[in-house]
Amino acid sequence: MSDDDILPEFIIEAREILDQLDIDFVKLEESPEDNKIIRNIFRAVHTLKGNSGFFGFKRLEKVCHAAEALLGKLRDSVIVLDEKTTNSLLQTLDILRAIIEGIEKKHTEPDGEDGQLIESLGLLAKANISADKSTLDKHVSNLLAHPQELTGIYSKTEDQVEVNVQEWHEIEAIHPLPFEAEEPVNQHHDVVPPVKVNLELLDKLMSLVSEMVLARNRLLPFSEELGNHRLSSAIRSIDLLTLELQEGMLKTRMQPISQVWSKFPRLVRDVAHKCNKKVKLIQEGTETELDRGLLDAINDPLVHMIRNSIDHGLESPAERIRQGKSETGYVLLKANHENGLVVISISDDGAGIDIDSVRTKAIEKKLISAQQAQTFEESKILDLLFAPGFSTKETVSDLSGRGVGMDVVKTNISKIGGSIAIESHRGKGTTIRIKIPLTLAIMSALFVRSNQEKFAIPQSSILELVRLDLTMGDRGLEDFYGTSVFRLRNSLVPLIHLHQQLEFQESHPDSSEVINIVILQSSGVRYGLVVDEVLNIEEIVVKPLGPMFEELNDFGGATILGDGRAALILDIDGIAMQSGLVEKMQSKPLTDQETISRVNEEEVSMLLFELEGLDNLAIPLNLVHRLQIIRPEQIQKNGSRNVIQFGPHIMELVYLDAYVSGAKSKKWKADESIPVIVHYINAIPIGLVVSQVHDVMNTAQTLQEINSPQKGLLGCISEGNSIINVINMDEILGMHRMFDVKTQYSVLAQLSAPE
Amino acid sequence: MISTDFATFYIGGIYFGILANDVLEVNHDLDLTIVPKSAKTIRGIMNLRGQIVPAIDMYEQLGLIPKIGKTERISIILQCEGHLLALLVDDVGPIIPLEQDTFEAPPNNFPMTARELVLGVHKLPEQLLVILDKSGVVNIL
Repeated sequence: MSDDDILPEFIIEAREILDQLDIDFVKLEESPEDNKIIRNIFRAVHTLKGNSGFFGFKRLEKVCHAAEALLGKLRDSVIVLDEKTTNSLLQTLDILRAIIEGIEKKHTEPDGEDGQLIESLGLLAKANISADKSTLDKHVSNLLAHPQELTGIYSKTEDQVEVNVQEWHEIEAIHPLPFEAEEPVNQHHDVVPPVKVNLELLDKLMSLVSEMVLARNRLLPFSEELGNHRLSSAIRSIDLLTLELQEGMLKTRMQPISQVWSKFPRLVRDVAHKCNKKVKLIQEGTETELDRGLLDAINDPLVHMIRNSIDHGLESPAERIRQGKSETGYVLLKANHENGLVVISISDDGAGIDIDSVRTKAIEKKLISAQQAQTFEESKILDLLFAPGFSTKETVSDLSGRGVGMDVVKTNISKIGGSIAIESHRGKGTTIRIKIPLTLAIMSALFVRSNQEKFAIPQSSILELVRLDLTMGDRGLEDFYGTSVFRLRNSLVPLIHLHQQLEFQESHPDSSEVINIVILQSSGVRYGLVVDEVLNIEEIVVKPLGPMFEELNDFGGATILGDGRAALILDIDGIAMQSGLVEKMQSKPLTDQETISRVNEEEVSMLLFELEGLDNLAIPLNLVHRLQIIRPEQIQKNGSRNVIQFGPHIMELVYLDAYVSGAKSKKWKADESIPVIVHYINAIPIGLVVSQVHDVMNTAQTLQEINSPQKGLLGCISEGNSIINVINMDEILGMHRMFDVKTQYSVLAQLSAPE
Repeated sequence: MISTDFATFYIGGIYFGILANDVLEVNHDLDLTIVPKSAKTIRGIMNLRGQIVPAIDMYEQLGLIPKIGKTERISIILQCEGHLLALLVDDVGPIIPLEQDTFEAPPNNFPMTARELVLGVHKLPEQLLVILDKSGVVNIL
């Protein structure tokens, strides 16, 4: 094997050693008496020195040697660890890291002068001795407790102490000393070392497996079609094997999050030192696994947020004591799996975010109008922290606030299909929660059609689906300073027409009767994408488009459909930027005071009804065609659906309690009458099954949206002493449709809840 | 004399050749997905066993005018610099070994758009074989 072959291995190993050293040093600072840690550090530096010598990296070898000498003294308790020593050793680590990085780039050592560092390491190794007699005495007394071993081990002169290391270890072996004895090094004899595999190869295998899943999907229909028993059983085996293969393959790319987190104790220590704060980092759920690619992607955002927490979040020790808190602030990193997502939260017990100053700043930066600032809820104000160019810190500090702010964090998180939310309590602390998918390779996407072509929209950016039926009296699209907008409850949503955006021929004139809008949250702006048709949700494998399409900002990649055709994935951010919408919105935010007041005056009729466990529910009366009482025996089956005969139609029953948050699923008795609200979609009746129907109420109250929206609910109306929950028909029917669409893939029913 | 293998194909009635070593495979009737707003020379993307492959409209690329509309159904898959791409052609011919002595640089009256793509011409007994330059095909994109 030539040097070129083993050099990468040297670099990988060196990096691993340095990462481990980072952790060990911080641990050591917490418990400087722990001889086991010092011995680990010593051994690691020694290994690194040996390897460097083998490759002839002189600079690396020299620095390692100086550090090793100092560590040797520490290990043998000739000197004790103080802050100065720790800082020097950490500085050494940084230099080692820089050299390794240089070697990685150029395959030779970068130039540099380490004389000063080596000298100071040497000085530290000597300086400490005299001050250290007390520690020595302690060890002496320890040894004196075991007098039979003592003879000939210990010798002491005026200004120099030498301990026979070899024999020292022997003593430990026979007689465990009060400090912890070294654990056996080779305890993992029966553990097979893991195999290191090239990431590219893994990616290739992953992509092949993904394709195999799709090929399998194409095979499945034949099983039923041809009715050949032997073929069916063969196909079933392939089906199962493919599934297992896919699961196994996904696992190979999964790595514990501790891989990224292991660097954080050092980071926290350094930042805390610079800010003169006392910080304790707590990590929970370090074993949570996620895709290798995602790990890399979350590193920078997490570093940024941890810095923020310490620099902006936590108070100075003096201030904390004044507040009655403990002097040491904590930063809690937590990771866990939740509904197929990885949730990572960063909490601190610091001062929390000053909502008022955020509000003032947002007005100053013209992100919102003064009027809006008053009406916005706290959570909405906090969301402004993620707006581009927002930074509340007055002075640009070296640590955080480098001009890039939380908006970059948010962009990076949304790039990998994640979402971010912030929660803060004044005086109590701040929590930032990131939700990301388990893997980059597969994501769920909504398919839409525009101009006869299918396009995929990443589900993570979809807020809701809206279907405007102009024949039913829905308000249409309006023009607002040259931007086509649509009125969604109390706010105006700018629209982009997909067929215009993609420069298709005008296929769908605006005068059409039904308009399908996908409400999207891009990193800059919330907007609605008008498409010809909303299809289904599928899990897709994301493929890069390749260098020939680099200039196209409208697409984030491609995927392969069940029938083997390629389909494009829309880039939500790219489309918003391209259309000029982001600029437009920033220069002229949509404010619509007059609309809100007019809505106020309008009186709306609502039908009140209840579901099991939820009393005060309402549906706008204009969505109700009629009320019907049905008998259980009228219900018949159509596949997995319940249907009844309704005039000339077969009417499908939708059990509302399955789609409204907080409702319990009602068990109908055999002789109970079932109240059904009949709602029409495109002249086809749908029966909404409820527990009980009350009466009709007229209200002039405004619908209030509650954050975060509850499944199936649009918002609340307060009427007298009670609060009436208005259901969201669009969402419910959307969810129902998702459940119902039979695709070859597993269909994700739940629309991502707006964050 | 060392001979080199060329894969041959027809576009708009012209006989073309490309180094056989550069050709990964030949495919029939791959489904095309149009990429809106992309360059005119790219007809769309195709799925080749899970890889997304751009399909090059060779009529556009070579500045040829189709006599009866574009009906290419065959794609010649090339591998260039780690990426795959597909040349859309009307028909394929055999792989033929050719020696250097029948080769000639492209004639001066060759259209400019095509000149960067064409290495030269092999004079075969019955007809001319126009040799395409793979790197030219890639560069122009």
